[in-house]
Amino acid sequence: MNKEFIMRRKAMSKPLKIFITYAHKNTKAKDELITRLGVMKREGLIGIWHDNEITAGDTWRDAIFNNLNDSDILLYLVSAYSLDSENCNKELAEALNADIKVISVILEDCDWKNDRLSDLQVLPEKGKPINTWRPRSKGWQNVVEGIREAIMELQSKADPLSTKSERELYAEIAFQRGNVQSLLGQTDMAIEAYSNAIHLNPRDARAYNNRGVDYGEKGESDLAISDFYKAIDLKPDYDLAYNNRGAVYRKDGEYDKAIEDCNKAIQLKSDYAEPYSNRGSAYRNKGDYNRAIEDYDIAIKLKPSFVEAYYNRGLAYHEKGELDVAIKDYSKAIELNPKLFHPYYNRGNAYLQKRDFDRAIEDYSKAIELNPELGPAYCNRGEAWLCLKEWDKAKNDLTAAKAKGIDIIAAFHNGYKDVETFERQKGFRVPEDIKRMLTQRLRVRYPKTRKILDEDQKLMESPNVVSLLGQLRNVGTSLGKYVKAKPSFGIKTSPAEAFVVDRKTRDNLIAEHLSSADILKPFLHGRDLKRWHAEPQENWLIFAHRGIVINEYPAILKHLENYRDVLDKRTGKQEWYELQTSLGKSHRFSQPKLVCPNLYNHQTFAVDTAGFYCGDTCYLIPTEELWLCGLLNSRVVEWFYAQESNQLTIDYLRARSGYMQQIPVPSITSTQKALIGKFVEYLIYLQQQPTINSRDLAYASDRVMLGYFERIIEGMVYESYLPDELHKSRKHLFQPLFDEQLPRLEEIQDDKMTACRDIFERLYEKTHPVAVNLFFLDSVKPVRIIEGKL
Amino acid sequence: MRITEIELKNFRAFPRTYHIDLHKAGKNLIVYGENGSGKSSLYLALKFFLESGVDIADADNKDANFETHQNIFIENAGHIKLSLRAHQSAKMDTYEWSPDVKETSDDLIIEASKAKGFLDYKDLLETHYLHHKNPAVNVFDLLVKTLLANTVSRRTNRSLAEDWASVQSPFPRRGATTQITSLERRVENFNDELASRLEMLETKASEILQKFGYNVALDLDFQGITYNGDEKTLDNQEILLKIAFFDKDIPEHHLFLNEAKLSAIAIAIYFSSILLQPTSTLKILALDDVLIGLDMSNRLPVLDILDEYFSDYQIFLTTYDKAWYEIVKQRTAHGGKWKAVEFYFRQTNEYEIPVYAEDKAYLDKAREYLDANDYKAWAIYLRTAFEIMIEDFCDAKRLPVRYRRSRDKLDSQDFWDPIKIENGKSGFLDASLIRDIELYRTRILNPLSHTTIANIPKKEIEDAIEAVERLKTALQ
Repeated sequence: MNKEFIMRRKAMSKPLKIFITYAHKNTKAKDELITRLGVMKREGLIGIWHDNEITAGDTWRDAIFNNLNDSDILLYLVSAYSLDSENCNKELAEALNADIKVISVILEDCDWKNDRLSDLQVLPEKGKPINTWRPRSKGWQNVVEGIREAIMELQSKADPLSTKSERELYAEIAFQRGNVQSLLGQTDMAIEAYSNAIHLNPRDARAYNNRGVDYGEKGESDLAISDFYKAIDLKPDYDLAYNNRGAVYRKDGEYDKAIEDCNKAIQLKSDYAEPYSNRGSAYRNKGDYNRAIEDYDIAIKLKPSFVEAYYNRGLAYHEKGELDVAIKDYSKAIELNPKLFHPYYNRGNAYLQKRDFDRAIEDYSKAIELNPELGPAYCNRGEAWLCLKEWDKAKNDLTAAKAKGIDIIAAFHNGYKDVETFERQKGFRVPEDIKRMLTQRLRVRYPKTRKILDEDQKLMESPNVVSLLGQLRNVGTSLGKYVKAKPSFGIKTSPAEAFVVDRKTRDNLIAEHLSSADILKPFLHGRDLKRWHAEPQENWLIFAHRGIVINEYPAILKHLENYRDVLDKRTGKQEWYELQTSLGKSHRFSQPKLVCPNLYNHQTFAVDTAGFYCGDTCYLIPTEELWLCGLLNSRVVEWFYAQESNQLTIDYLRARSGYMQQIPVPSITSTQKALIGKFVEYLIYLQQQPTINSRDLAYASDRVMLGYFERIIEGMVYESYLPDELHKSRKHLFQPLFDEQLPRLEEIQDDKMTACRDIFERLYEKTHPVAVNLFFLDSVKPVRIIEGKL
Repeated sequence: MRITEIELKNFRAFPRTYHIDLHKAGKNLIVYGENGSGKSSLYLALKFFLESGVDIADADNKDANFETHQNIFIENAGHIKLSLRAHQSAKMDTYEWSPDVKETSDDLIIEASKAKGFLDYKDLLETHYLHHKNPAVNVFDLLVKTLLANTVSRRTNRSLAEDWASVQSPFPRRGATTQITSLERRVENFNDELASRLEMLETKASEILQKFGYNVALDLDFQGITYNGDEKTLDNQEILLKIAFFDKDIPEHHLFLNEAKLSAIAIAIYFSSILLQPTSTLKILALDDVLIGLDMSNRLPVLDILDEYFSDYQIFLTTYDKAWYEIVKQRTAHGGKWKAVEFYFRQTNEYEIPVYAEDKAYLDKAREYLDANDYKAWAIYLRTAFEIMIEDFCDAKRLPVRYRRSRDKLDSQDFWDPIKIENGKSGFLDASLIRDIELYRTRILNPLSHTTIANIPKKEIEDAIEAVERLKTALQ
């Protein structure tokens, strides 16, 4: 982004810097001039720089150009030698390019009038060469006076106070202060100063522009953009503001707007390099590398010292995959400004991609030297060391990267699928400790028992887990065998907008034609399922099974026709108006069943006795045994299922019929089943009560009751699976619960909620055997394993 | 079920084998000891012993590993052994926890650990930093992160600390609806659990607070934390402690809640939280220095509360306040339910054990460290050897030692002076030895001199050791 500094130099108090360009043959003349400028120097008006001040060891050219760029006036000592000197000409060109005031001092008669110097200020007056003045000192004096005048003129330009109203003067002062603070990097203070300037002179487009730049720097894009708008409002041909707004848009990802603004800036000032570079970057961000490179080319042509343009063009080539060209551009950027760390870092990346690890490491090291906080550089250097099998160095770098907040695992997985893949690609093994650093620590559903390393250094389950799994597998019979009908998923209903309708559509369809009612079935989505109980969202399925005579349902047909396009696109042999299911399968919906969503966080089986039809986001287990719901919602089953179906690593579990059917169902007595069933009924009832569904903390204990009843079922399920272990530790749940002689829900005559609360209060009493046994249940080892406490 | 014997070996401050006999009845224990004397080591020994039974699959939980607590300078492997009896005439069972043997995975120990009450003074320090919100005080952190952290939800079987951790960051990304819903559900569960527990606590804690003589009812006002998805923060972390007065004539609400009363309230809440849980067969309540935050008038009621509510618990109290120790000792002298022991700072023995069994070792150690050029360690060992030597001599000879309110305020001057007086009578020390000791006592055998000790020439150091050795011979 570009700032507007109305004058190149502002401060009166600061001496102007004078740079002297001369040919070495004219060293004497230069010395004479410096002596004669001594008075002004002592007055603090000027500081002088000439190449004798380069100390040994400085890079000569760099020092010259740095000083030159920092100067206010270039004094060009003109002689045949200097006109012929390549260096002198370069310095002159640079000064002209940088808009530095150039004053020629003609030392001798030579061909300066045919040089570009002829357009510039010339001393002594009328270009009378020094060596023709008699005495010569008169000529020098004329030069010195000319320089003093030029200095005064520059400074009076820089001092705008003389011509403006008081308010404007103060505004100007504030504006200039903003510029200074901005230069010093004090962005907040600069913004304050600019705001002050705007307050004093609300018509100053420059202040808006400059404040916008500082807001942009702070990442306050909205504020920045609104400032640029204001600036453009005040000054419609304000090329800088357009360019700057474009730059902020680009940063915000609004590439088209960015391009539009850059176009405008270019239109206003076609030789202005920045907007080309900005537009290039917007194109690059859009992935249009060729256009981006074209723009960078122009920017570089207009401003050959445009570091950012080289760097950005490098990025474009890099992203395009042309590594060698990219490296060339990065190198040029480095040459122009060796203090930037980005080009080093990216060149390092390019080398790393080229598998030139030594060069990559060198570049990363340089980048780190320039910016020790550059986390990604450590990370990538670590990767390079890995490839060179320098384990210690790799480890150090990876550790450093991690300490700098880099997700080294994610970074590594960006490049390689996993460490094993990396090893295969490289053909060597990575030491175990580094491997661990780079291996995704899987999110575990229940913190599992410690894993152990086998002889091949492979992780395997601890014996505790293995043996408990084995024990559970052999309990009773499998779920698949226990339930008579086969569990299955629901019906594929897509496109759902065609087949699943809400109450209003359903009512309309029936009103339109009564026959519709026959094939509109109450419907459940997977997301409607809660533990114990489904909360249907008033949806109906158009049960247009295979072989349906659709003409008997004219309203439905009309409805489906609205979706003909989508329906036609389905694969399968069904007619366009048919679901992929047959009439024969409808019975599995109408009978009592347990339903769970196909994806779930914790066991979420609900009892459905109302004959809901289900979509394929539901998994159905046909059974009327309520206690199975208690079993399937328990932690034992969740742990077992997650282990067996190998789904320990993700946030949710997926219902998989094969594994589901393998869940062991313990053999317990029918009275035990009935007892669990009683609690399932309580829970179904509770799940529907307003106090339980509220968030009112006054009813917190009702929700605790629900959780406690679940825990009671949990306890009975543990006792069903692991009777010996529990009994050995004197943990009994069935017995004390039988002793309570709890009523079935339907047997409760009075208010059921009050009755539940009574039961809860009784069983929650801290000395009640149920409470005590549940509280200490995890002193039983398998329970600890399942609950992740071992 | 009570603990009848405790044996510690190479555990933290206990370098050798220490044996505490709580008699067949399994008495309660009151321990006096200055800071660093080992009384906290005893507290921790009990705590970690009980907790070691549950091997949490967490490599960072070093406390569950006995080696963590061993003194690395001592080569012998250590252990903790607790002997238990169901009643006086029952068979005694001993459980050991050491690097090699782990008998703490027994149900008995695991359950004792889950129901135990262990509170130390650090837990109550927070009452000093509570945020006053006139006329109430926000005790959310104190309760959730400290006092109730280890209490277990009876429906999820998780501690409040775990419940709290489950609603902590990393918070889900904006727009990740599934995760946000899931977090919000956890927040609701947390709120429900905490709210219902606070309701029970209020009643119980008010009841206990009455015993402190405060005729007030506690009100723990919790409106529930809320997840703020925009800021990614958990808001309303607030449990406002309010006091309802039964006596109408105390008008200044906020003046009531000073630090001492807050300490009493915190203790009442902690006690209640223990009392609201089911109890285990072996019931342990240990309070490490926690009563120091109370003024004396509030400490005595604690004894009554322990008597009334925790009579079936075995209680371990520690304190560094000698006066308080004496009071407890006196108050509990009858009934034979309590045992009192004192720990001193050097080796934390019970006083029955002869102290100078150690001194040779200290002198040897001093030489070892001198050879290794570890001046600081050397100086400490030499001084310790010297101090034990003269102190024991005074004890053994029953020399009149200057009175100080607490024994730990005595310094080497207090013991050295009577030795000199005694010497004036019988002359068992020769004049040059006395001169040497006097010289080194200020220069080297002085706790304040250690930072500059490296500047003392080695010759002089050796002379100092030699002087102490001579003194040792002379005193024997």
